[in-house]
Amino acid sequence: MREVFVLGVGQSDFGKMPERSIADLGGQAARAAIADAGINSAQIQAVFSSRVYDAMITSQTIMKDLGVTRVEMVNVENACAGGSTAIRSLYKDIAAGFVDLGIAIGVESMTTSPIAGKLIPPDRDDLDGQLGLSMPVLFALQAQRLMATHGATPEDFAQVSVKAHDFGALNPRAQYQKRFTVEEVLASRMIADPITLLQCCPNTDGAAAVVMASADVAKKYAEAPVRVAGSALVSGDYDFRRSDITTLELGARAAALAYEQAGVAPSDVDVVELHDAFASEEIVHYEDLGLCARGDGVGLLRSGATSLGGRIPVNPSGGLLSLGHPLAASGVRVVCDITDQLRGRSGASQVPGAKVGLAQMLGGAATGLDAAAGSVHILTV
Amino acid sequence: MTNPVPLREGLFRETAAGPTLLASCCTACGHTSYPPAPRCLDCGSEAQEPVELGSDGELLCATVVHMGNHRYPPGYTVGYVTMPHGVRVFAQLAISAGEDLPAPGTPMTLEIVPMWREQEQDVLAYRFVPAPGKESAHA
Ligand SMILES: [Zn+2]
Repeated sequence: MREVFVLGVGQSDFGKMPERSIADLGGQAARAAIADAGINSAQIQAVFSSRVYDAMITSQTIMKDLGVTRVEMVNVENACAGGSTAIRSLYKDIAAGFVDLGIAIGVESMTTSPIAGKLIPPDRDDLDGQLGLSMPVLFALQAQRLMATHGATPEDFAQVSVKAHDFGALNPRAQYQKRFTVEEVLASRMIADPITLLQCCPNTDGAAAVVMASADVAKKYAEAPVRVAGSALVSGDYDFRRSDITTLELGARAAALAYEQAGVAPSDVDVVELHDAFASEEIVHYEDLGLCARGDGVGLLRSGATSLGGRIPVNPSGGLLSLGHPLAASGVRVVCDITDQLRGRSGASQVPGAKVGLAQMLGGAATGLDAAAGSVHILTV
Repeated sequence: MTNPVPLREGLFRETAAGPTLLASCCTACGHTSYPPAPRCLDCGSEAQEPVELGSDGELLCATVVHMGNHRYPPGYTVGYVTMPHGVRVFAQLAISAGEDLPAPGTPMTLEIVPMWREQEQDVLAYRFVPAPGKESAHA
C-alpha cells in the first residue's frame, strides 16, 4: 500500500440556501479544494462524491462545470457517513496505485430534500421507523440511558452544546456563530426528552471537498502535506451484540482499526472532529474513541479537557451543532477541519501545535443494528 | 367496514393468554431473534423454531417525542422494552399526555392496537402499557 496525503481542502458556504443547486454548492467546495491544493483540475484522475437525498450522478453534475469529464467518477451513499465513504474510497484507490490524484466531495441540499424541516427518519420500510423512531428519538433514548447508567444530567448534555457554540462563535463558517448559556439551551423547545432544540444540529445546505494524492504527487505541491495515517470504514453490528445502548460499537471498532494502522494511541491525538448531530451522543463518542475510560465520558466533559484550551479539544470547528449538518458533506468537512488544524490554519480555534488529528463520522439507523456506517480517519503531520 | 391489517405478517398475534410477539429461537445456539429470522442472526443456523415472547417486559428507557410526523401527532411516547430471552424491543408506550414517564424497570405489558389508517384501513401494531403491579417475566 502506498502512502496517501491530503493536498487541499475546501468548503462551500453553510446555511439555508434552497436557491443554490448541488452543482453550485459542490462546485464551490471543489474549486476551493483544487485551489488550495495548487493543482489544475485537468490533473484529477478520479472523483468520489456523496449525497443522501435525491442523489444521481453527483460527481459528474459538479465536475462538468469545472472542466473535468471522462475520468472515473463514483457516487456513494452511506447516510451521514457518506462523505467519509467518498474519502475512504479515494484513499483506497490512491493507496492501491490505481490513481495518483483525485477529489472526494460531500454535498447536501437539506432545505430542498424530502425531509426538510422534519425529524430524520430511517428508510421508509424500516420497522422501528414505522413505529415512531427517528434520529433524535434514537439519541434521546440513549441520553436517557446515559442518565441512568453514567450519572449524566440534562445540564451535561446542554454543556456539550454550549461548548460547540463557544467554538462555533469563533468560526466564520458556522451557520450559527452565536454563544448560548446552559440555561438557554435547556429552555429551548423540547424535541425528545431530554434533547432540546439547541441540542440538535440544524438543517443545513453545504458541501466540502478534499484533494488527495500519492506521495510522489504530493511532494511536488506541498512541503509538508498532511498524511492520512489511518483510514477505517465499518458497518454496524446487530444491536443484540451490545450489552447496552450507551455505546455505538461500530464507532469504537472503526477507531481501533484507524489507531492500529496509524500506530498512534488515543492519548497521542491532539484534536478531534466528530458526529455531534445531538449533543448527548458526544459523551458516548468520547468513550468509543478511547479519549477516556469506559464510563468516564461525563467526567471528561466536566473536566473541560474537550473545550477550547483543554487537553483534547473536540469539535473546535463548532461541530454539527453550530456549523449545521449537510448530511453527506459532514464526513468530508471533518477531514477539512482536521487538515486545517494540522496546518495551523484554524485561527481563533487553533489547537496549538496539533500534530495528530482524528475525524470521525457515523451514519444511519436500521432496526436491529447499532447504527449503519462508521468511519474514522487519522491525519498526521 | 374493512378488516384491520397488521403492520406486517408474522410479528405478533392475539392468543387466549393475551397478545404476544412472535420470535424465532435457534436450536443450534439458543439465540432468539425478533423479528423472527429464517436464519440465526448470531450463528447462521437455519434450524429455527418459532417462539412466543408473550406480553410481559420491563422498561429500559423512554422518551416523549414532541414533534409529530405523517403518522403520529406530537407528544407520543416511545421506549425500549426488554422482553423474555433478553430481546430489546422498540415501541410506543401508552402514556397519556401530562403523565410522568415511567421509570426504568417498570413492568410493561403488550397490547395490539390500530396505530394509523392507510387506504381507509386501520393498521394494527403493538405498543406497551405500564403495568406497575405486575411481576416482570423477564426478572
Ligand atoms: Zn444460532
